[in-house]
Amino acid sequence: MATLWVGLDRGDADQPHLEQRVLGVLEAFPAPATHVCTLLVREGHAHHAASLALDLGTAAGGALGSAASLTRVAERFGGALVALGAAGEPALELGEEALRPGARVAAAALRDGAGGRAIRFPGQEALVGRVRVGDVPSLSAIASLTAIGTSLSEDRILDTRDHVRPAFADGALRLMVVPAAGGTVIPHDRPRAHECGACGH
Amino acid sequence: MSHEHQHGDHSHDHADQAGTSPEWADLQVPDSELSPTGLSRRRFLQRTGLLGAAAVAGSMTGALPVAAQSASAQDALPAYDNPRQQYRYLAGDHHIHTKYSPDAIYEVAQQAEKAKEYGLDWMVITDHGGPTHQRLSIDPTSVDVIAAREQVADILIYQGVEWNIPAGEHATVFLTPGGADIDTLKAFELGYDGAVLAAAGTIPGATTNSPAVEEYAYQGLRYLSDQIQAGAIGDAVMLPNHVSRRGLDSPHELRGYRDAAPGIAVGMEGAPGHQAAGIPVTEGGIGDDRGFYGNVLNAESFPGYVPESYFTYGGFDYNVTKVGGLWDSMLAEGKRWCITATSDSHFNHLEAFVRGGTPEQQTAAYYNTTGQYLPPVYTGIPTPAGDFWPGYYSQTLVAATDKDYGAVIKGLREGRTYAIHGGLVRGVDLRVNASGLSDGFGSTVGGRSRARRGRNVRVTVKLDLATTPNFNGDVPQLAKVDLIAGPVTGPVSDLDTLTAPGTQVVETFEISERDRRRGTAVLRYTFRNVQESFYLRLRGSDGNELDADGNPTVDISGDANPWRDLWFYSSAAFVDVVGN
Repeated sequence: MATLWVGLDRGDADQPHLEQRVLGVLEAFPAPATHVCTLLVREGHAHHAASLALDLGTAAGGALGSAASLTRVAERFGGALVALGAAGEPALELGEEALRPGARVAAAALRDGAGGRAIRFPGQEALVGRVRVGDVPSLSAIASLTAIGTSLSEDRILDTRDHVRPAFADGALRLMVVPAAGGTVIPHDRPRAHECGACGH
Repeated sequence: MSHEHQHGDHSHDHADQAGTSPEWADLQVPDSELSPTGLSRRRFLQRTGLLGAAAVAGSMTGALPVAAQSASAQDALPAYDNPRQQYRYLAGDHHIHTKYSPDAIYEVAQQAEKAKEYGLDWMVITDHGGPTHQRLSIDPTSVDVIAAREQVADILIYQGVEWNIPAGEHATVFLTPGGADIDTLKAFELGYDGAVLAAAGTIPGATTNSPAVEEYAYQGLRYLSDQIQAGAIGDAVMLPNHVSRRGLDSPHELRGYRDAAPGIAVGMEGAPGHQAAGIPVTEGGIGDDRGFYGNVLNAESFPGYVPESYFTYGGFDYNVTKVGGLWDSMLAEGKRWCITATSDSHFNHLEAFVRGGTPEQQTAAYYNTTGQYLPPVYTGIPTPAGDFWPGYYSQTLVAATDKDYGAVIKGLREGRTYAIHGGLVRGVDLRVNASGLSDGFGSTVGGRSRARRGRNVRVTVKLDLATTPNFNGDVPQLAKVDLIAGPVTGPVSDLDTLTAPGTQVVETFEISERDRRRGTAVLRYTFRNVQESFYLRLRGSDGNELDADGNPTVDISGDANPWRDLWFYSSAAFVDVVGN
């Protein structure tokens, strides 16, 4: 499967803002990305960048993966865009020079499965409401769950709160959970108030 | 709630730990016959290899790594205590909001009356710093504070600010009344508040990390120090609030505040406010995160903080509850850093007030044009919320020489504090007696005493236990007290150090039903044959929420009723080991 990894960076300080922005830009394209992530970039001034994985074997992924489409994405998103193919392939770089390193870091982290907080990933649509912990890996691309302050059993209930944001580590998507009311666990990554009053979302 | 502790009474003592082996240390006693805390203690010591065939109580030498005593550590240590000093124990709260905050509601006098009703001797008004507050709120607050001092007797009311530390978290800053106090507050906020600086475009954002932005914080603290030196104000202190909530205060920033202007940044909120936030919906609460600690790391979080650190444990901040964690790593430098417990009262649980005025006058936009909200209106409809009134659940007990504005600040600076939840104990008096070099009552919490190398150091803890109901209607049941100690290893070379591997629980005391009925307990422990300088501190629990090691457990989101998980913590006392 040929995959294109794309990094996007506008230097966002606010993670929910970035999440809204990248999903808003992608709305213009028909379900093109297998994964959409945000990544905390600590190079230079700490900020959040975004990354996409496009399956070039599908019509939608291939369409978005064209240089013309990526140029449109970069224009709509702003900042910088860096596309990486598999190792050795030439990269496409667009937009502000100063922001390209962050975009490159985000794309490479997703390619290597080393980092990226997934806001869209395969099987996410099945992780709504309450789900058995043991069912999560079969329902979705999440490979495993790790818990803080509790131990997990397959029959424990994950109350997704319709907000599941697993993160890549060691080549796989992993979901960190914490104990919650009623013996359930909830994702450690909680929806947060979008504090930017100016952007209209 | 003032407590005058007498030191001549010897009502009931625990078995001298040096003389008799506790059951958990006696391997002839099977696990099944031990109490849960005893079993927990035995297993912990077995895991760490400290419990073998012989009892281990009483010796620091086997438990702690040898630490070099550096001359610079000596210099940094606080002055020796006068061992005969008597203290008054004054309960207070340094983190209280009013209608002069964009996200709060109550009158100054309302907070003062409630604080008095719920047993406080001192309190600090800390509305949020920011351009509006700096410009419009400080003056009317000072008018209200002066009026409240007249109206509500016997409670010290300080005016302060909840400072947006540039590049950091929020912090309480407050001054003694008088002199140029109000002008100093205004100037401090104008020059050094992160939100003010960000609004002016001086810095990119209130929490934006960079050495240049951090420098504004250090300069702000030095500014306060300079005003004291110049005689413009009497005294001032700063205490970072909800330190681990967003991971914004890195270890080097906490040390930076402490060292920027010694005596100004003196400690931190060890237990955040918003303790009602974890009450389950099924029990009438809002079912949120205890302390509103639900935030996950963001771009400005210190990368070295582990995911576990973004939660409260038994209502206290992770940096305090983690034995051998960040707080211990600061204490291991041999420097004081007190801890407190506060209400952070904005909207109180099951209260029935709403903001006065039209819907428009209840909005942040209105606050931004006026610097305050209209007086709150009583609706009669109790509404769940995240906070408690000052003193209702969280109290900071300060051992002060007098009940006055200067003495409470001095008590905080000198580390004489206990952070107490839900009235778990009414009073604590920790005393350290180092054989041969001091006598009398010993040095107290926050103090420093000297012991000759190879001699014994005796610790005595007198507990004034709860015998009457707390404000939830329960008589709190103190189940155990842990004595925690660690070597003083001197200043750290890496300012982001956040572990103190030598620090551990050296003794767990179980509180008996007889103690609780009597209302007092005296705990004794002897550090035998001390070889190196060390510090010690206490924590106590109602025993309801303990892990296998006797530590507090993570507070469950939406299911953390604070009344069923009570703790108290002391600040630290230091022992210098000297000579041969």
